[in-house]
Amino acid sequence: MQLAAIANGASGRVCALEGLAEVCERLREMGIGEGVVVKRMSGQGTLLCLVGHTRIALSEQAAGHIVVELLPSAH
Amino acid sequence: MAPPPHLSAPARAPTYALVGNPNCGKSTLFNALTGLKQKVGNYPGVTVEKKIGTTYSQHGQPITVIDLPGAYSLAARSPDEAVTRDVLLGRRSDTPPPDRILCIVDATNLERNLYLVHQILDLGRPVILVLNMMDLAAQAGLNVRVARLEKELGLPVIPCEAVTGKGLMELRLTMSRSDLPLARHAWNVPTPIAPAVSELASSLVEHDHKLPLTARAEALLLLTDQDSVRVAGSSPLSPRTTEILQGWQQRWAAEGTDWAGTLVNSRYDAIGELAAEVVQRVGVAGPSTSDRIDAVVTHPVWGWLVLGGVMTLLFVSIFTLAQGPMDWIGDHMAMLADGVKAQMPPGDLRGLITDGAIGGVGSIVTFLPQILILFCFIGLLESTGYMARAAFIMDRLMSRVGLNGKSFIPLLSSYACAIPGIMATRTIEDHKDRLVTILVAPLMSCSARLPVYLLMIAALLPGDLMPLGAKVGLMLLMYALGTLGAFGFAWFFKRTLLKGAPPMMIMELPPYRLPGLRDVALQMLERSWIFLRRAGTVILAISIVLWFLAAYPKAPDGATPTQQLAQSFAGQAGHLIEPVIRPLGFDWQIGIGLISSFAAREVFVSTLGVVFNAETTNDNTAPLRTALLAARWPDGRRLFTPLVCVTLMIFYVFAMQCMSTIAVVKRETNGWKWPLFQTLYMTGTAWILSFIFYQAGTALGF
Repeated sequence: MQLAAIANGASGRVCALEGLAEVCERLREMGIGEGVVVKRMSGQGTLLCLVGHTRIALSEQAAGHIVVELLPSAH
Repeated sequence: MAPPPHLSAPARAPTYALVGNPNCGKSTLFNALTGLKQKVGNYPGVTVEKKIGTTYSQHGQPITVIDLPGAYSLAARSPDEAVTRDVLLGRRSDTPPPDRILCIVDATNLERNLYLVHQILDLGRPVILVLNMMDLAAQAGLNVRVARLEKELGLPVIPCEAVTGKGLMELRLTMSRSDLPLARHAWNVPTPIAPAVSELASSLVEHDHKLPLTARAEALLLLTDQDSVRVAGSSPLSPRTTEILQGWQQRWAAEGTDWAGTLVNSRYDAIGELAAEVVQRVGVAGPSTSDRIDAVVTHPVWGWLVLGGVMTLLFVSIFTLAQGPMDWIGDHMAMLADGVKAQMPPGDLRGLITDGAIGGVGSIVTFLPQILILFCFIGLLESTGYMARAAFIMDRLMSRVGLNGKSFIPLLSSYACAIPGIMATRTIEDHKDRLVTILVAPLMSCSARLPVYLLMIAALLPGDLMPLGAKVGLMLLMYALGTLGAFGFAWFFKRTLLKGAPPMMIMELPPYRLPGLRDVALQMLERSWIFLRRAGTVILAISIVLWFLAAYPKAPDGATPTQQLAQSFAGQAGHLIEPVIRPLGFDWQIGIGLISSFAAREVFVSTLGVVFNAETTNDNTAPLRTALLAARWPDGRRLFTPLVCVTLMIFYVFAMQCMSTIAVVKRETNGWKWPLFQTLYMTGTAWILSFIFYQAGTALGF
């Protein structure tokens, strides 16, 4: 599922990056690569996510490049 | 391969480049190292700030430090990152490649920060790693094993807190060493792309005359640099190398493999192993202060309230705190002019100095207090970390018109003055988004329009009987009109002229911290100086030209200033443009005011003072108001009817009438094309809207 589809407060593990190559590469360079756990903090449309210790704001289109698998909330 | 001898043991004092991710404390470290010994300029042809400073070794030898723009990767995505990449790769003739590199990383976020370091180690130059924000890392429950990191990378690692100056001494000592080791940087590129790397590298050595070590780094970079951002002043690749690169890219595209992604991932794998060795998690830290603040500040409801509060505070400060100093500057400029008048006999030279130079430059210097307050606020917001939150909150709204959240601050700044607003667009990575922001920024009603609005409102709603609410309402309406115009045109341009990809924002939100007052003050000084120097020189030249146009040809002796102005070049020009502005209800006398507004919009008020022969100052426009109300067309109709006053205000909302803004846009866009387009579209819109409004108003009997 897309990162935008998970609820605020939920976490997902990145399965794939799809879409424009330069956006995918920048996401990888910012630390959002395959296998990384991303926690969606807040926002609608534009999302605020926690990746490791970093907060990253992603516009709707940028977030659309990220495919995640939902992690159980206990994780 | 051994590096050329000058790299490891330079005879002269080595030049250092300071490199790091945005928000890792790079500017703070640069300021701490160099203090006021900084030179701020521009890279020729690019609007990226070039900062060079001097620090001293333990023996008092000067060491040059170049502060390169913050970058996440050498695969550049913005002009700023492109400059960093090109300086490091020796692609810029204006800046020789640095001998050594000072990499600063945020200890709380080591993995992400080490990505850039990993690319830089490929360059084969001596590197010193500065681990900044060790205090924050400790608070977050992270223990970074410095000695281990030093051993793994084989280079000096200095833990540091740039804000407090802790670790600076050790850093200076290390920078003074003549024998910096080269990093132990064993990193195997993924096997399938190794042939591409070596073929590109040898072509770079042969055809582009690169050093072998740099060539390998550059080859790796070319393979991940999807759509490389090119900036003026950087030497392009040779045709042969370009051909080889395209060949490999086509081959991989046909195979459907994403080698760029694989390369990034394999770097992260190497970094991940290193970080696992070096970073220990001691205990679990609860939600940090930043988390708690963000829970409110980025909240869908509270976030907007906080942003509204901050903006209100900004505006109130700009318009109230600045008033005293602005009056003071205005008074002293007048005193200076009076002083010159008392010392010199009347004549052209005196007129040129007092009315041309002092009057013209004075009118722009008056805005300095507002500009200082604005930059102080921007500096505080940036330094505390709130700025990124404001961009985050505004992003959704801005994306409706095709811009991203980063355009918000430049547009907000433009309410004070479009010049700092346009200068603030430098943080926008996307070229088209940046251009659109520059094009619409002057539509936000700047403070120079305020005196014009005030005069028109005074003329429109005569007598002090009119309720304050009506005046304030009309004023707010003008601000709303400008804002709506800016967003409308942004929407229009993003769909037509500057059609681009939908806005894509990937932005790090730095942790909150107490503002570095020294950094804020330095930035205020720097920016204000740039403003004064740029706007000041242009304004001086334009003021002299406008003075000349108003002073020549000379009227016969004994003519009043009004008669002099009426038959001057400016007066003739007013007559000349009258046919064009007549459909808007303006006559040639208003025309003179419109022309003189090119120096600065508020000059309109003093020009009308001369045109209608009314003693007037910015504080007291009552005599001018009376004179305006008495003004008549030759056929006896009133000139300043309420309809004309509102039409004139609408004209001022949209028209591009500021030479300084045009000059800054020319600088920022590297040419005359965009400033000319901007002048035409804005002034054209102003004319059309004023025409519609005036003609409709007349038809309705107003």
